[in-house]
Amino acid sequence: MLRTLIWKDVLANRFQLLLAATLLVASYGAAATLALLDPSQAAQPGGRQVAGFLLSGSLLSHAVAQLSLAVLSGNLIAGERANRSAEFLAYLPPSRGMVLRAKATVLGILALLLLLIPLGITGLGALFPGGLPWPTSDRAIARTEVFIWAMGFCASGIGWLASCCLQSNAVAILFALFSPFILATLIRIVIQSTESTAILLAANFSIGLAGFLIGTIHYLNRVEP
Amino acid sequence: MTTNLIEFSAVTKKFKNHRALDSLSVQFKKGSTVGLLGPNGAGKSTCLKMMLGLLRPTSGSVSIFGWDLWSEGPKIRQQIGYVPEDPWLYPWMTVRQVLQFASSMYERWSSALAEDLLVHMSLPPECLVKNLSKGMRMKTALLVALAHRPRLLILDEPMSGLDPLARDDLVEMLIKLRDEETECILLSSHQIDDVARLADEVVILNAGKRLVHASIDELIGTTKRVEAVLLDGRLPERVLQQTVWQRVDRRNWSMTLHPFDAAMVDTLVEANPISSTTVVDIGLEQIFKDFIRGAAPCCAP
Amino acid sequence: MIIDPKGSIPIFQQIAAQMRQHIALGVYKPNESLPSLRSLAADIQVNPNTVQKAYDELAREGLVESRRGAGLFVVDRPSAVGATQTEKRIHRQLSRVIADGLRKRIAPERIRTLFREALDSQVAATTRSTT
Repeated sequence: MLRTLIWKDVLANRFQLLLAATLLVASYGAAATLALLDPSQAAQPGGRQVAGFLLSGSLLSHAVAQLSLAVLSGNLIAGERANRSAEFLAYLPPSRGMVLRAKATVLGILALLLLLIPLGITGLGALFPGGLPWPTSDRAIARTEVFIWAMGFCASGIGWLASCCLQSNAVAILFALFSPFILATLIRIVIQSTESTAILLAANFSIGLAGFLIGTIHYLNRVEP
Repeated sequence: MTTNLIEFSAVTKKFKNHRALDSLSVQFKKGSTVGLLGPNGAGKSTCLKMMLGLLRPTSGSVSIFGWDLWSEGPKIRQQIGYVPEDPWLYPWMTVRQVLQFASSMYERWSSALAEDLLVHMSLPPECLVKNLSKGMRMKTALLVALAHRPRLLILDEPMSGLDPLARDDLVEMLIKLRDEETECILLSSHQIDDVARLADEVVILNAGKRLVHASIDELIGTTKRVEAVLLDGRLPERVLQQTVWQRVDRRNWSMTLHPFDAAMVDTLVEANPISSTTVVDIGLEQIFKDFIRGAAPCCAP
Repeated sequence: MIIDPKGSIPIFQQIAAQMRQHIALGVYKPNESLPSLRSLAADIQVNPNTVQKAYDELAREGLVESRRGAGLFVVDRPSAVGATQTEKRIHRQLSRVIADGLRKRIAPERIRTLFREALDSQVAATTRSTT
């Protein structure tokens, strides 16, 4: 039963998944184009060039992945309400819990793929002669990555919550996409200090978590499907 | 040991300011085909949705197959075939994909039966749901409901929006495809003649309350219209307790009595200034209308 | 066979009445089987239980009988049981009509005359059609 629900959710969201795949590939394309146009890169040894563009491609794809995840999470539940197929599912045997589990699985798997594939590709850079060592700003990259994924987690969490509550998937997706920026603005206003980065990180993560939890609880208890 | 398949005990359902069901108590036994009649907003859909575990009573309890509804929802839905008023399946699926999908949800799904029904209903298996006509969507939903040999079949306004030919088709389908495994069929409809054809029993709901629950033949046999002629300038003096509906129009005093007994005519004549009475047999549609209109106060000329 | 679902006569009685007529007119001859429950129900678009009720009534009147595994068959000649049932029905219907007449203040003597007239004309019509 769960497997069929997952199959159904994958097919129901195929455009969103296609978008994610396209953006993933496009990131590397963009990185390659930028690398070719940048004279300072051309000066580097070949291997390091490739490693460099793979790394920047991966970084870009991680950033763009958050968009894909936000769009998917906004569409997962509200999308079925928008085309009224949620009503059909409601009177079939699966419990709401199982329905949600299937959707969470699809979101989780996409997140995992969008995280690991770029990392794997970056790792390929190590195979190229002269590809190592990594660019020196290691720490900075790691911090940026964590930040990107935290914002993405916030976006997905809000997208999940909006999707659970709203009738319109389009609105849910918009909520998802804008939430990290609105959050950042609010925090910058409230906390007028330079150390807001750590707070921002924590805030993104907690809002995301809250979004997932509250959305789930609401969905399991609401009357309409 | 109870043979009640479905039991509503003093069920009340409130939605914000609106009381959809008002202390409703009704039981359905194995082997019955029941028509649920009532005007819009009477609570028919609420009743049916509650049986699927989609709504929780505000107070009172519902049990199906002897199980408590809210806690055993998935188990109960395994044994119920449901066709909603305007079924909307996944628009991007083909008919065959819908069947594939549904087959993995139901333990008792019979692929052989599904194939049989597909042919019988002349449904195009590779057609996308969004391209199906309303009648075909109804049939697809009915197929999904029947193919897992449900113990309880629930149809919510199955004829609405169908043209006369499609309706005929569906009625024929419902009669031909009655399964021995199906213990009870519940049908809510506005179409009185469809209910009269298909159902043995009828429940009339109004404003969340049950007005009557009887076998159709018994209801027709025990509900009569009495037309009485009032004497000049006189008004009715004593209304019978069994009056379901009444109206005075000049000298004509019409009333519908249930349950009717011939002796009531004599009582009526003795207690009121009337010159003659006629007893008229009425059909299900008129009975339904009279029950709904209810007992109205006598109007002064 | 046409059924009026909205009518004031229960559907099973309508079916039984039309079946009786079919049998009387020779549409179904003695020792011929009646249509199966399912096929008749699907034909006239009525709940099979209702058709069953109609068939049960015909069987009770002795017009048809059930033969093992083969369904219902028209009886060769109506049995004594059937005759009694018909007599009971006649009595019931007559009582209703007479009561109605009395209530409308029609004199019993007048009712008796009306009854005789009706009986005479029906006997004449039946005699005419069987000669």
